[in-house]
Amino acid sequence: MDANKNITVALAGNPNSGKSALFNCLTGSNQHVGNYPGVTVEKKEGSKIYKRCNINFIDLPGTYSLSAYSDDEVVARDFLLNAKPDIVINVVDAANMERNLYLFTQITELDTPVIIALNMIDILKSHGKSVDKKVMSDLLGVPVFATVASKAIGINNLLDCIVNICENEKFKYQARAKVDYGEDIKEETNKLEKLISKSLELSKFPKNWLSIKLLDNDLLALKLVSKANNGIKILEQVEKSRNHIKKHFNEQAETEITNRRYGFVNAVVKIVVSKTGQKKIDITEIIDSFALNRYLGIPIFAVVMYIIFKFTFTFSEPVVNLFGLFFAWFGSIVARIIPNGPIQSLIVDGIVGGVGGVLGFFPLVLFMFFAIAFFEDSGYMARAAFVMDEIMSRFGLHGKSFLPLMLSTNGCAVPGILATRTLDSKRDRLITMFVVPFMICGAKLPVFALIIGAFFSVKYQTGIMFFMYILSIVIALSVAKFLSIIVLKNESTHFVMELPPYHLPTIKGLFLKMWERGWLYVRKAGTVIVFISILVWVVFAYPKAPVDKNLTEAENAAIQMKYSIAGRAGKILEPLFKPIGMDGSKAIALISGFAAKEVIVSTLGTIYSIGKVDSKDTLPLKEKIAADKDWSPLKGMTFLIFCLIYLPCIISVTCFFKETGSSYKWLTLLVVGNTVFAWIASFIVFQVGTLLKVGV
Amino acid sequence: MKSIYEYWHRRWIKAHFQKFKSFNNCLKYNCMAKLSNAVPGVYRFVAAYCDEKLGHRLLEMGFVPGEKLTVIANIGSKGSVMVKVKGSKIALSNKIADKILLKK
Repeated sequence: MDANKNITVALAGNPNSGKSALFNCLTGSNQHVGNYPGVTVEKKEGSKIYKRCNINFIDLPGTYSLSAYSDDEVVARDFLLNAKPDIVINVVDAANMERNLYLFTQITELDTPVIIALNMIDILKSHGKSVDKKVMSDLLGVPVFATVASKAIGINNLLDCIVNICENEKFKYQARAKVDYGEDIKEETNKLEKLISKSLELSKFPKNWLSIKLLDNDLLALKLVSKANNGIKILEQVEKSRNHIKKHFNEQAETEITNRRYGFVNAVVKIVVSKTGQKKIDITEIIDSFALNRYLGIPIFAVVMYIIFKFTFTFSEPVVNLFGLFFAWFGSIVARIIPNGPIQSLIVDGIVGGVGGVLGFFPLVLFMFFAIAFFEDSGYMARAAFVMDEIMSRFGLHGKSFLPLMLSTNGCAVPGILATRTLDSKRDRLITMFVVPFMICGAKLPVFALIIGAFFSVKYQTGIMFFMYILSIVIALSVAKFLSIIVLKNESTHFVMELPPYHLPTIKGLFLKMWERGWLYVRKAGTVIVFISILVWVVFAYPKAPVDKNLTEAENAAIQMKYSIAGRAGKILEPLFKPIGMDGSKAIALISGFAAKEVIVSTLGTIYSIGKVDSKDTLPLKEKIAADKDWSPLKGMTFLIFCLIYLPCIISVTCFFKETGSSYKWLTLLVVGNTVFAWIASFIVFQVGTLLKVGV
Repeated sequence: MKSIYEYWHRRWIKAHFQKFKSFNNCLKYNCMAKLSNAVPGVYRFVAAYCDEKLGHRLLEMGFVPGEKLTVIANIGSKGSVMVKVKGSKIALSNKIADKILLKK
């Protein structure tokens, strides 16, 4: 026995079978998350050293079967087929064995040794039933272990078994029960197997599995076969066999195969599970009768969303402030150490500012993921999506899209974009991510407050603010509808979702989930944001304007702003902004809004501090703008509409880019599309307003 | 082609289902009814008229022809339903429930 034997173990199982909990139990905190190449499916890996063996665990995405209809399934099946793990642990929810063992009937057709982990055995007991593990293991021909992952029961037995299988060669060849598909299907598979064995390329795949998959009309299997040298012959045979089965059973081949599989599972469950006592009261039914009630459903949903929102933004506030203070303090320390000059400016304003920008969001993101993980693990999220689905599907969105939109309103688009992780299909994710930045986030709020406060009397201010909120929602939903009709029309969404029973999530699981998602944000977006924030700093700081000693600091800053690359760009772009009623200074303010939306206010402040000799001028910015002849209520409104729609801040753009899987196509659509859309919308508002002489 | 098919499909559904005022009448005279109209009770699954992808997904989730299917609740104005198949609760949006046929 060598000291460090490497064993690869894959965990496969249905969604909600407690697979992740078992994975956390097996690996502890020693795990890391990545992405499978090309898809947005998360790849979780972890390792554990047990009895001098180095066991690598891989948590496959939760699937109902190994067909090829979703990214999750393709990933799981590619891993099992091509990476060839040493052992597969099939995690089975003991309380729901019928559905869970269906996956087992497919895994067992592959060549890899299988162990069944009967998870959540305590729930089965509370239902007044019990499982005979010995009989089950004899029937199926694989080792069966009972585990309770949330309480870490039965983990060591599982680990022992893994090590045993790898050390003793004879355990590797399990005499496993296979589904009996009946004489007719068997005949056809035999014909196919003969053809398959003639091909060299297909020899590495299990013949039996491949032939069943071919009859099952599995797209990936058909593609695989068509590449082989005698592919056409096989495909012809498949067509013939499928027709034969259809004629014989009066049903599609896949229906018959599924029927047979379920029949097998049914028989196993009947033999193995026995009733021992009475069923206790089911909490799930009680909660569901409220949470999914026709009238109470949406109010309860609103309350839960409000809790998540409150938790994310209010509770994290002290921590966020602490981070901000820390970075300000750190900047001042650095400023004291490094002498005045461009290097100091680079480090303090560029790097520390940029890192602070990323990490400033970090506690916020962690709090949000914690709240989401709680409702996800407890089982409410699936219901929430179901409650909202009827409304959201009218706009081409998914029921789960509500949460990201909600987090973005008055909150921040960054957690909103990250929260789209809870969506399963790529299409829904793209659309939701795209419309999230349209909402009025916390950073846009000061801009709106400033402009509305400057031009409208107190009586109308609330009404106009409310109108802007409605406008943002209308824009977001119509863009979503537009995207779902024009851009992503050929994909359709279906809402079929299993509603898992409610249970209390474990603290450890919640923290692990929160940490891995939060860390992914820092790793993926962080590096890019720091780089771009340095770029933004350069654009605003260079070239340096000559410092006039006679002027105050604020005035010098204003001159610098006009002198810098951004200021010059604003000057050059002025003709573009003219038709929407904006001059160079407003253009500069809007460009600076790319760094972060609240910067617009400070930029305007800097611009308006110019030309005033008295540095103690205490007139607030609001009144300065109101007194300026360059502004008018109409121009203010146009400014706001442009501000509402045009490209989101740099951090959101970067997150969007990373979350779409680095798709340049979508990035371009977001950056260019939104700006053009904003320009057109504000152009219409401004020109119509001028023609009608409203608020000029 | 598709639009022609959809047109006839809609006419067929109209002819077979919408002439009945209630779900129970529909079941009684037609032997079949749509899941989206179902009132809570125990039925059997007949077929799903939808694309291959969704059909396969439903099949794997346990919607096998003849399978016992318990409608727990019919929520919302448009007929999103919650059903129990093979011991677990499944939520279906009204778009899918519209395409699923039941029998007694």
